[in-house]
Amino acid sequence: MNKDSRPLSRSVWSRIDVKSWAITEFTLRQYQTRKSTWAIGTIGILLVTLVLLFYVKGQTMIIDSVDQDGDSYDYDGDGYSIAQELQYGTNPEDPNDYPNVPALPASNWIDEDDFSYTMDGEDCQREIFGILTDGICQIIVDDDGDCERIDWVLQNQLLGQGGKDSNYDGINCSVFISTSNGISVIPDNYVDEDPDDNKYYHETVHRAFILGFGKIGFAFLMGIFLPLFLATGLIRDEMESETLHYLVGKPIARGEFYAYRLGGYFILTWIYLAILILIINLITGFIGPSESIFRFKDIQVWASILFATCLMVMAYGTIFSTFGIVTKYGLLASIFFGVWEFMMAMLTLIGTGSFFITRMSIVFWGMQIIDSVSTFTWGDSEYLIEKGGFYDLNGHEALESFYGVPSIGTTPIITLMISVTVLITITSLVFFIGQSTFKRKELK
Amino acid sequence: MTDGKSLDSEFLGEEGANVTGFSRMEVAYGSGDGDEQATAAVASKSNAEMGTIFEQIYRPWNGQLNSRWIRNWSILRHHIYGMFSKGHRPWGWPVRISLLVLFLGSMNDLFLSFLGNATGVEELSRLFSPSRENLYAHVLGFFPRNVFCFPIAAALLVGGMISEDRKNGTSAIYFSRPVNRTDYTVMKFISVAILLSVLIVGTLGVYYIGDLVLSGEGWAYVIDTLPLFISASIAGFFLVITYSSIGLALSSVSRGKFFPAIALLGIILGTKFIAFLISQLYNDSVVYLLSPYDCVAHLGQKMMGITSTYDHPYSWSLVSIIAMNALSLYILSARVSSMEVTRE
Amino acid sequence: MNSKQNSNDPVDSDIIPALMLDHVSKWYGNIVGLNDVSIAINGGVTGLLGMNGAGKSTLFKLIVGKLKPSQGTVRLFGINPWKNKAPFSRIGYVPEHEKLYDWMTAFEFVTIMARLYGHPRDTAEERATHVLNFVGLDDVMHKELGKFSKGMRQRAKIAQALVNDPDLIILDEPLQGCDPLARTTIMNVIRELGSMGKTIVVSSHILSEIERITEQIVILHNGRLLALGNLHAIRDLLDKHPHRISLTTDKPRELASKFLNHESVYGVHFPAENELLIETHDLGNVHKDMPLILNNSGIRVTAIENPDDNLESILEYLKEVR
Repeated sequence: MNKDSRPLSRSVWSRIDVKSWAITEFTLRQYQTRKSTWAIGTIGILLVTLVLLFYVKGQTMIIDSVDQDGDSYDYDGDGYSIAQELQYGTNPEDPNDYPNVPALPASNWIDEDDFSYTMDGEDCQREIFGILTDGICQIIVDDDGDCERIDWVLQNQLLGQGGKDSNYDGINCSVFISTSNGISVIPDNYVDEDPDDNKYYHETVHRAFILGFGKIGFAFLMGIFLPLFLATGLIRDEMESETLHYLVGKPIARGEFYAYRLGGYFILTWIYLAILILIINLITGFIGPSESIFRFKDIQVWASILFATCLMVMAYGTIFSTFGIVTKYGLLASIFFGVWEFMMAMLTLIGTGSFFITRMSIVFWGMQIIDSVSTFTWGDSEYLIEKGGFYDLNGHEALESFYGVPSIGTTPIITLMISVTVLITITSLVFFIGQSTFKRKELK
Repeated sequence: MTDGKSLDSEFLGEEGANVTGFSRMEVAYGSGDGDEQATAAVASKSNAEMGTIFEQIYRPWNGQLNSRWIRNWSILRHHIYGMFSKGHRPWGWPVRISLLVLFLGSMNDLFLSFLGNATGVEELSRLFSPSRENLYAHVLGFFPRNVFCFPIAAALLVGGMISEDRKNGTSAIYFSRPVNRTDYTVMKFISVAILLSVLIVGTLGVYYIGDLVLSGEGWAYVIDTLPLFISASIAGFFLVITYSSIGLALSSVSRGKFFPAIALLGIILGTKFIAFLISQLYNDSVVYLLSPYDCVAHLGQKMMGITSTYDHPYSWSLVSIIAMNALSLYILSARVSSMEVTRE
Repeated sequence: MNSKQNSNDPVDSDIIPALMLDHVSKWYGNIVGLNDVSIAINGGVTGLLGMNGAGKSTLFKLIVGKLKPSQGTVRLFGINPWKNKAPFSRIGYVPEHEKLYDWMTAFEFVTIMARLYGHPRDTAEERATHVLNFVGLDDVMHKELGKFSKGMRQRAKIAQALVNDPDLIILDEPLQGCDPLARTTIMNVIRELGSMGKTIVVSSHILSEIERITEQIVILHNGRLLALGNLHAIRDLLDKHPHRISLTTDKPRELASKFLNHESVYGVHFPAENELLIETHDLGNVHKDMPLILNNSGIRVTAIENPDDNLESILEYLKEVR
């Protein structure tokens, strides 16, 4: 054989590179030849398609408009709706007192106000119901102007709901977000009181879809089942089929070998997830309700879902393959661990993080990532839920089921950082255990 | 031999001789009486020329086999006894311990009811005594039994049932015997179903009877609740059959015990949660038809007269459950009949 | 050669043996796999002989760092292979296991193995082609391993061991399950490698196979080192030991009279109608004169066998000597 076939200039590092890619590529080819990989991939795509069909159905559905504040009603039967009578200062309860203008159709006062709440506002302190509270002061646009009109005194008397300053912060038609004990929204009456039902439904269900699918479909189901299928046998299968002898009889430390094999698994799952999420993002971004042609803000949330799922797939993959190294009953251990995570995921979804025990799971931290980014992007969701609940709007339950604020008691950014750190720490710790066990493992 | 037949009548296939396996054993080792009787015609070197075709003499075997159910019983026994003793199909100790834990876990309602009776806390005993809802929940309650106990037990049981035979080539041991493939498949199915029934219906019985004894209820109570108990048991058998057929179908298409176990869990829990997602978002329960658990649960709700949690008619669930079982059994039988008896 | 390019390797291969075991024992629970074995091998082809379960594979697995010795030290080019994977760049190992990646072609398999030694893809492919040629698989190298016969699989396994041009090659039962043709091809490959100056260790439980490859043998029995050295020396020992030759012939009695005149023959037997059994102290001497005796007698002999010339009888004998 040619004794001078290797140039001396190649450094140790470039050689490690060559080996790492060789093992990674080998792992990927191995996945490629297995029928089960393709079966799992196909089933994932089918499920995504199924759920997307329901999404399209939901977005094309038209919700009937309802007059939530009741001001389109002609109370006294004089042909003028309450809103029009109030506008011209006539008595809505007196059939003989009506404005001297042509009556406008009642539909003018249905769906008059939009939700215009955002998270951007200045930090401030106010006295709410007489208690000094930390929070964010909002400047709210009262689209139909019914709260801000000075001549609409009667309305308050008529509907009797506490005037224009129902949160008693001294400012009329304001919204205050308290941050002193979690986040809660305390708005005045007549602000955003009669939203467009159809628009509200499509917006909330769109958000609920992204969050629900992100949490249940990706973080929860794919996050647990992809690793169970793909990572459990990463080392164990090779040990049992005795082909590992070819691979570890080479000048590579076993720890490195394990790392590169995991690398192959990461590449496969991450690319798969990225492609799926990209496709769903594009489809829902174009179909979803939006002023421009595409919902660019969704990209942030989808990116957080992708990021969280990738981290979870990484953590679970490392845990399951390490189980496979440590014991030949690794599958059983993985199943029990998987079911534990499953129950924790259910508790996290139901209790929105209020159960402390859920913190002992991977899935909790994954969902915290999604939650913290979504509170950041869609800060008005809580307001939407609260208002929607108050007026019983279609779609608020869906958003309520899947929208959650980070529950470890800090700001979203810090929660995000803590969650990522926790997941990466668990992965590294388990990887360390796995590779040191593998190093000491005698191969019979 | 007691009936006057010679020892090797079994080997020679004489009429009326039972198969004991005794004389065949002797022939296999080439010693004893069978050897002299069963000499083979071999070529002697002295007169062998190139191209000689030796006369082939085959002895017809026209004896009697033991009846079919005895042969099938031995297959069934092989699988079930393995749970308790050595010398039968080996179930690993972690699997056996897990099944024991799941068995005890399935009876948590009995323990709580017992606790209620023992401590005299009225609420506790009423909360966990066999009411209509509790009997339903014992079999079909999602949490914790159908998210935790039953799917895992089913996954552990079906895991290597057929796939390991394929992987190790041990199916050859069955198929080289007078056992046909249908019997083989049916016995595997029944073994899984029996073990799963112990877990699902057996614990229901223990719960029901145990609670009757503990709370000292009279006959009137028994007559009131017995129909509920029976319909809960029937619902339980539906669950057993559905999980077994899906699981065995998965086991027959794969090698190793790993894939079928995970795939069964994936099907049961994955479809359930996708359906949950859709129903939460769009108030549409129709995707629950894809979930084996929910179809059985819907049927169970109908049978036991519990308010349905699903919007679609229960007949759809019935059709769905029949379709699922039919598809699984079709896959199972097609795979087993085309299975090659080699180590793959 | 790759062994020289490892510049930070403190070991000089001229002084330190390629392979050294010092009082090595290995037990699995209560079962002793290897019992106090000490050997050093450097250069040439060495045959490792032993019955099934004698500890051959245990020995090899200790050498390639798959097992950790319970006692004693194992050194591969002066380095502990359990802790340090560096010497593996200088060895090629052919495991006894049958399993291969059936979905890969032989070329892909050997290429990926070459890349695990740190060769970039182009060099790896070049080397893979080269070694597959060397083992005689050039015409089938783009076929999947799953479609290979046993002999071809063995050769593919040897090819992956040779791909980094190793100094030490370890072959665990490379001839097992092969037909005579594949056997001859593999033996030729091993002999050729030996003539190229590599250190080769081959294990087998069939003496005649090893005999055709090498003269330097190591015999293991029940985990112990039973004999070590030149095959001829061991044979000489054997020759001093009563030995039998079996001849199949039409006229055994007539032939017996011819042999009784020979100086080394001390007895004859007739175990069957057409069989003659000769007893001797000096097997080599009898074999030397046998063609002449047979030729002169004019009697047809259809078979000559040495019933004692197999591993079992050598082991029996060596155990007696100890």
